[in-house]
Amino acid sequence: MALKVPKSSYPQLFKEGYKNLQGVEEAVLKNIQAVHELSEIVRTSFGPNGRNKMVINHLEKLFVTNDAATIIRELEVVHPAAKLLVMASQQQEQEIGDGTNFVLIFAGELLQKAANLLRMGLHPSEIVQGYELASNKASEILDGLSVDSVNDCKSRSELEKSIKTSIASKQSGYENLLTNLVIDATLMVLPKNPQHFNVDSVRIVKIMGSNIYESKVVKGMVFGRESEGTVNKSLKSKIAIFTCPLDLAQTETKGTVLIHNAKEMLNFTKGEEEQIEKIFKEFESAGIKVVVTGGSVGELALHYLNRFNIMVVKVLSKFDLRRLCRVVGATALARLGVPTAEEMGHCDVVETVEIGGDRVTVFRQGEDEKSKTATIVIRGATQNVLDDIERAIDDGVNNVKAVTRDPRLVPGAGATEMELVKQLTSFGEKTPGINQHSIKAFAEALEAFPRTLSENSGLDVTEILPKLYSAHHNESTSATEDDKSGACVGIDIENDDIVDVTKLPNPVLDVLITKHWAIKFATEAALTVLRVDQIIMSKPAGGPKPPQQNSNWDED
Amino acid sequence: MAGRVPMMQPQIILLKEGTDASQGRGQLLSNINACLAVVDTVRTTLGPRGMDKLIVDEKENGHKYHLCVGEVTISNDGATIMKLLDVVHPAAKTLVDIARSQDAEVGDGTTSVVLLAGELLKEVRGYIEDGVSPHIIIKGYRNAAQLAINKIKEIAITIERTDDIQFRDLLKKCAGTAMSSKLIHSHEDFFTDMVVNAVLKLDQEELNEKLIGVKRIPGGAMEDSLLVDGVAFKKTFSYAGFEQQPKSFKNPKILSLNIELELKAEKDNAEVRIDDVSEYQAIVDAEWTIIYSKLETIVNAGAKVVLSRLPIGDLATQYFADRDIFCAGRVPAEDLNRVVNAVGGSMQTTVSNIEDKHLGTCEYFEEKQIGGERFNIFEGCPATKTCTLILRGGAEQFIAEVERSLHDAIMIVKRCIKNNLTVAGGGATEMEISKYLRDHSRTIEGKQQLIIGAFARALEIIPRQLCDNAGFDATDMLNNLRMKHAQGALWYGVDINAESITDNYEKFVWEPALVKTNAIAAATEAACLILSVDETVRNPASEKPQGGPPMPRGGAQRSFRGRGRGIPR
Repeated sequence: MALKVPKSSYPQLFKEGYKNLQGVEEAVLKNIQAVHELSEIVRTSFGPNGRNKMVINHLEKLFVTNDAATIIRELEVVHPAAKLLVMASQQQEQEIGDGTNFVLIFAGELLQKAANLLRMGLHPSEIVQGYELASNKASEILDGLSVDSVNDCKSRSELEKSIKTSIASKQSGYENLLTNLVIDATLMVLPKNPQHFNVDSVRIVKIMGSNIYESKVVKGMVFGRESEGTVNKSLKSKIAIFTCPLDLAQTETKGTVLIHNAKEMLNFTKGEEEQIEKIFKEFESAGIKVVVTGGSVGELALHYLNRFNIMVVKVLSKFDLRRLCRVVGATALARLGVPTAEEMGHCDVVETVEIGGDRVTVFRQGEDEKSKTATIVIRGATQNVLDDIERAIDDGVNNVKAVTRDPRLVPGAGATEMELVKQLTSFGEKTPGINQHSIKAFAEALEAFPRTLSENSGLDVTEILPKLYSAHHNESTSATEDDKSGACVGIDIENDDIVDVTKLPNPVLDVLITKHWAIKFATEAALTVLRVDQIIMSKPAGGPKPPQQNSNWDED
Repeated sequence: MAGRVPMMQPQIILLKEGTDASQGRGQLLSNINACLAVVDTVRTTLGPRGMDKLIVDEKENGHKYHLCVGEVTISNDGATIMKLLDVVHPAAKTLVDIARSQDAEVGDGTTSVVLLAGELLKEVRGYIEDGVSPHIIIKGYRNAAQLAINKIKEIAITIERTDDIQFRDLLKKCAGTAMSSKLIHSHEDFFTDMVVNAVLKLDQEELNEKLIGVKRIPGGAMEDSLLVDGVAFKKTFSYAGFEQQPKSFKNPKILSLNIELELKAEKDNAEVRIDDVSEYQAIVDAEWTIIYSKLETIVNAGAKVVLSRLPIGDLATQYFADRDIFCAGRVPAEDLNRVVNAVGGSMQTTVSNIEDKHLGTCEYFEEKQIGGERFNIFEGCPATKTCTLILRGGAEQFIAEVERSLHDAIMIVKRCIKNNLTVAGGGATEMEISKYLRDHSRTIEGKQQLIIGAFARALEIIPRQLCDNAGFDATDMLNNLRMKHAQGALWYGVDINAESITDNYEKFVWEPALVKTNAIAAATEAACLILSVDETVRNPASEKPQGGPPMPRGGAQRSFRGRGRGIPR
């Protein structure tokens, strides 16, 4: 293992096995290439005509999706520079929950353009500077591009504007149906101040069978299991929720019951029975009709619960239990005992029903009451379809959250990007000095979106792009400041042409804040990659080749 | 190896080693081919003349080297076959999913749904090869499926549940159609009657088919199978004294317990410490007192039949025998639940304060010999919401298949009751929808015309396969059918018996419309899913999903790795 690395300037500095890459050639361009490869993978999934990927992860689970966040999460990217991109896209997922593909494609494209500039002889730091300038300018321009906004989060048509585009890009063809589901669910749970909308309050339950048209929204919660006892329906009931098992308390320390004489022995079981009966008798007299537990249900307890006609539901997930508490307005108790009036919850209907072949328990609030949680029950023939629809709905719900923060909307279908290209280019031309190149490169990178959209839709890129350019240049220069008709021209994938997307019967509108953050995160990731000039990889612990695999082995 | 570091760098490792990725149109076509291969295996099982499959399931349970022949299953049921096939191809797995979904939702038509999905893919394979964007196909298929489903709902005939006898007739016909393709076809009349009776016994609101018990007893002929109006279960393990117990009762009171009636420690962690020898006897007596008091309360409650999920020991057995009470311990939980459902009362986990309302009753209880087994049978139960099918037959596999067939029929009857739209079977509905879509496709322009046309063609696979399996000339039959449908004969389908075509609605080959709508929806969904994929990335499987001790398999792989140690990449 002699280290005869010609380029390595400090062979003695590191232990054997270190990898050391530096310089523009070796580090930057290689990084760019890796990033580009990653963005190429997800590119074909962009837009309503994006293709699905089948990803089989290390646990042999199959994902069929065009959601970039899911694809890269399951891909297990190992390249350090590409990982930066993955992280940027995850940030987007956390911040907004949508637009992850945008981040990946844009960052990839930015770096690709940067590579050209590097070959021209620019220094990475100059590119960094130019990109920063351009990114700031882009946010500025973006603010001015807003054409519409969601003024009232409680109105269907207003909400529809904001989420339909996002859902259409995931589940093209089902967007009307899914949008309605999301809106129904959202409106049920939207608090008085929409700012406090919590994406967690829209739950999704997937039940295999039937088809997507049978999906529906349930006001309240749905759990995928039957009630434990014989009672399986309860109306207008008080609910007690426990995190502990429904049984006599067991001691943690190992205890032994000492019996001294025969009498004690005779009374032993009797005492136990009486104790449990007493507890549940109190439940009954307190008017509790439904008991929910996070633990197991003792047989004796179940017996008395049945006897007192109390419905028992087991909810094993702690999070679900907490959500249920919110829905019915109860406090979860850690000790078995009758809850006070404040600790009790109330639910209009608790019942076990059959959906498809599955029996589920539904906690449903009445029509006029405000519920804290709504559940979308999705139906579909295959698990993969269900998963994918779930992701689309998630994106939709996240979009609702996004518009509650910032109601502004920008035209979609590549229109916004095209307008950014135009304005950034002219901004770049006005910028003196070497930054001009990189600002223009930034603008060109944005062109990737209309291009990818038309590519994925099978349109002729060379035909569509010039059309778009001319539309944006001609009309907006002639029009006044208020009339932004030219700025709203995007790609109409239905009719293979360009069109003013805001004038369509179903306007294609994106949420401004999504684009804002996506551009920010992508630029940041790209800059981080560009700023790197040297990569030092430590020798994987444990020795050369096989242990490296071993380390993965442990991580799994 | 280290010396080569700078030179081996050009290669960029983006994904984890071992990741396998394939992309593009070729990938899509290979997915389609994989699906078609799966479809081919179930193809021949469709219809009354379909053949059965024998599947040997070699359980991978670590005893590979032991001489163990796996479980043998003979089946005609698409879902069962698909499940046992253990498909690993990711795209083809989708087909398994839809078969299962059809099974859960409707219970029958599992072969059709797989066949249809395969045919939908096959029809567009050519278009994909020619470069049509899969998205256009997907859109067209979704449209077509929606049109087809609406059309089925439109042409379906609603049977009003006004006349009970007529309604019963309808159910029998639907059950008969579901059964026609199965092993029990030859005893159709016998079994349809049985199935319809069984389902009608259930609570008509809830229709929980799990409350229909099915017991298999090898031996006897199929016609010896019987439907018990109530519950029946196999005699449980019994202790000495059981022989003295009476084996039949009229209107007995029945007590269902969830406790052990045996001498035993009351609590696992209880310990007895005594200072005095005389105390010892008192403790022993106390233990006896506990069990005797339990038995006494049971007897005082007036129960004549005592059932328990847990063991009933020999002491209790004799005690009951002395008092002319029948008892059975270790009754399987689901059987006991059904008993409770049938005879009324409720399950008791303690014997203290048993009230009369906790006891159930039935008209007649009897322990009876059926084949080589003794059965406890409860008949004439007041709250009957349950019943039991006792199946007889030659071989275990044979009865198992009968059970599956009956399950399909039960599900069909159940769906019929919930949703009383019916259509004709035997390919008639498919032909009509096919004709409708074909006509519709001619009225639209663009590529959609081709796609909807392809959907229409794909639907014809059902009658075609029916003919093929029956050994008829499919081309001829289909032409005749197309002609009839073009002339407006709505319900013309394949007539297997006459080797010709006939009005299947008149012939009473009826099916619930739900079977068809769900099959079309599920098949379309699966086909669209497969079409929408353009890339497969397979990550290397994690070696220890559960984190258990290293498995021998893993060990083998590691030694394999060792060999690769020195090879520079």
